[in-house]
Amino acid sequence: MVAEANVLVIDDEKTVCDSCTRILSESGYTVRAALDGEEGLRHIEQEPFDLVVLDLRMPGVDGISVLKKLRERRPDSVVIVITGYSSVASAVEVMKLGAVDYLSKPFTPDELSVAAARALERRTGRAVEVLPERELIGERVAVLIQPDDLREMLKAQGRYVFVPRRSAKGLRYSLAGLRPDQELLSGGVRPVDPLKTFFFEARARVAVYPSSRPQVMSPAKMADLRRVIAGVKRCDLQALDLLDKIFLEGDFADPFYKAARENALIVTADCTNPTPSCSCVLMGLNPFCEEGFDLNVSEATGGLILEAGSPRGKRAIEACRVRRKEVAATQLEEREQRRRQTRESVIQMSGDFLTEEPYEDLLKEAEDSPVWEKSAEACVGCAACTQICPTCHCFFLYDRRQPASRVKGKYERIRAWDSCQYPAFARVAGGANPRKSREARFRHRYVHKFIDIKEAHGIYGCTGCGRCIDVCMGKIDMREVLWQLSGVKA
Amino acid sequence: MTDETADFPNPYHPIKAVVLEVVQETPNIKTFLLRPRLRFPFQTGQFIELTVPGVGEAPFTPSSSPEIDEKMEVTVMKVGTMTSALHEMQPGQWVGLRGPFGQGYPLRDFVAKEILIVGGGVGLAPLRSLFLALVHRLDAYKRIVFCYGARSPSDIVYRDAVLNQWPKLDPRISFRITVDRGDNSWKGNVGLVTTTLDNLDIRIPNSVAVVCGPPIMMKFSTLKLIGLGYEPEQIYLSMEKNMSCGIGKCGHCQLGKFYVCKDGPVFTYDLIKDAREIWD
Repeated sequence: MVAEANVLVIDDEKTVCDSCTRILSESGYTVRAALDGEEGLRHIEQEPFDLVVLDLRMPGVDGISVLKKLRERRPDSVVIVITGYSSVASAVEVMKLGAVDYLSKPFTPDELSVAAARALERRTGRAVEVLPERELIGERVAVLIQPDDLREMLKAQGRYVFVPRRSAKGLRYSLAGLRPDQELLSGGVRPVDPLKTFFFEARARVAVYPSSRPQVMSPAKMADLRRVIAGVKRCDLQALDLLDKIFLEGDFADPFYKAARENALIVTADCTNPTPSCSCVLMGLNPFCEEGFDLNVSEATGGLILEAGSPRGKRAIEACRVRRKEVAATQLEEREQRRRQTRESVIQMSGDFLTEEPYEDLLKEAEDSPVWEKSAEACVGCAACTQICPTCHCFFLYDRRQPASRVKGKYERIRAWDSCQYPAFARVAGGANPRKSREARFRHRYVHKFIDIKEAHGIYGCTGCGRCIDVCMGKIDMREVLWQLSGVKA
Repeated sequence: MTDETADFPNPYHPIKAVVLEVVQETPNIKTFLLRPRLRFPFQTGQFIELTVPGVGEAPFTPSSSPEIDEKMEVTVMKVGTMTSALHEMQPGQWVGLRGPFGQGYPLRDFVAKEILIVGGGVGLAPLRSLFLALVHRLDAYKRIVFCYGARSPSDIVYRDAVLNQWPKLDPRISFRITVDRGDNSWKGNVGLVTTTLDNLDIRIPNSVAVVCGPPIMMKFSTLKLIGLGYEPEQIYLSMEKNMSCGIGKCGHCQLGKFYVCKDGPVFTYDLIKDAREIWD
């Protein structure tokens, strides 16, 4: 089922115009076609269209002019722009002019019909049934690609490309593409920064008031959110899944998280070089990704295996005009072998901490264990563990007069990271505080991650990234605390 | 981009509400009558986030009837920075409002029942809203027994209504008022609110109990109700936690697997009786 809609296709390439018309007609829309901007504008004058599919580069009246005119005449129409591979920058420009999506040539029938359905859904606010994601993925698209080409390809997918890069402060996400010799997926392990920093900033302005209109994100800011984040590891992808549940589900989505998330292309990579604190295996995870990414990269002899895990990822692979090859069966085998090896080395690092019971069960039994008091003694309450945690998402809101305000009498609301490890976190105005002692706060972090989040969302609030172990000033190792709680003494 | 505005509902953004009147209820409790810029419908028992411009926000449950959506009353005890700033506000000034948030009282489940309301101190605020909602459709319910305890006679909120007007509204409504400490003029009961639960002539299987007040009062009232024969799912508690975002994200109001702001603030006791920190 698709929504009834009037669609206009404007493209000077007859083959493209014809095939778009055919695909959209087959999708059930009423479609008109125009072979240049002038003809398109005549149609627009004559009747309203729900959706206009518009080629950007046309002789005579070009796409931008059509778009501007359309905005005046038919502000209700939604627009999808078709661009050549090289003109992604101008695609961003037209997004600013109000296009809701763009397709890079060449694109597949699926991509067009999904983009059309999405665009119309946006316009009507109705739920339009799009092809289920599974079906789109179909058999996974995977190609073999060279590192330099991958860099070029990713650059075409967003305004900014972030990759992990070695620095004095460890492996950090940095802007890619400044030096050609730079390793795109360096490190082979999760960076120091948790992935959440891209979607849930440590401090952000979330409202300006009084105002009769809620603050909106400027088109410029929105365009800046078209980011590619590459080299993401499994632990962080799992954390992102949890953050999605928290920030996007329920009656209220967080609009800032949503905007950042929807615009980002997530490129995961297999871990190849785990650190001693790595413990994904204890959380039931592997050090590589099998789903939930847009693209995944695995190293293999002769190149990188690039796999699509979402329609957007598939589109990116199909749109890229770089040298690419079929992935050979031997290379896939090699990938499996490398993955197994990495998994083995994580087991070597963390396997000793494996407990017999699942964490939620052992924590329920260990509520009054003396281990809590003993472990909490080393805690200084600095909250580094929660700040660096890829799943911790607690925040507080505070208000202030807008500094150097352009308009007098405006206030702003800031959302900033908070931590359950701070003494006043749960205190109510009347003074009641369920977690007055450090021990209670220390225990809460475990209980919340392994019991509460599991009950509410079906997954642990810990993904085994090990960052909290690395940063703890008291040298507290979460794996060890859990192991001690289980009562299994060496 | 116009469509972006529509696509960008911002749950952190407060709307403006003008302070129309301020009533001093007790030495440290005031009721603010507000007129929101937009109609502000809510279910009784849901809460709102109230902003004092530039100072900050705090959660309150409206004390006015949910039948009225162009005005709202909020009763506030002065306890901290935000409430102190609020208590300074005068008619004509404005505050911010967000919400309503969470789950209120499921009035449909109260139909044809004997409704026992147990309130303590400023916990009377949400119960006033509930009471007004019940009175609005009084025929739908069997009767209302309202028990209320305050520290002293001067701490009784909505004094005139509680002592004089509400008890006389209808034969189906009865009141039991008590204070922890009386004074020379006080002729009523003296004792904790739990003492008013003795000798109730309620048929418990056809009853629901609603409890709201300070944590210690809620704890002992709930335990007493259980002792009287109420099942945990017949007891409705309005939980106070440190609700901040109101939308189930910020984590301050965690109560076990629940976020009080989205899963509450009204819970039946069976849902949370095993939660750690329930009365803390």
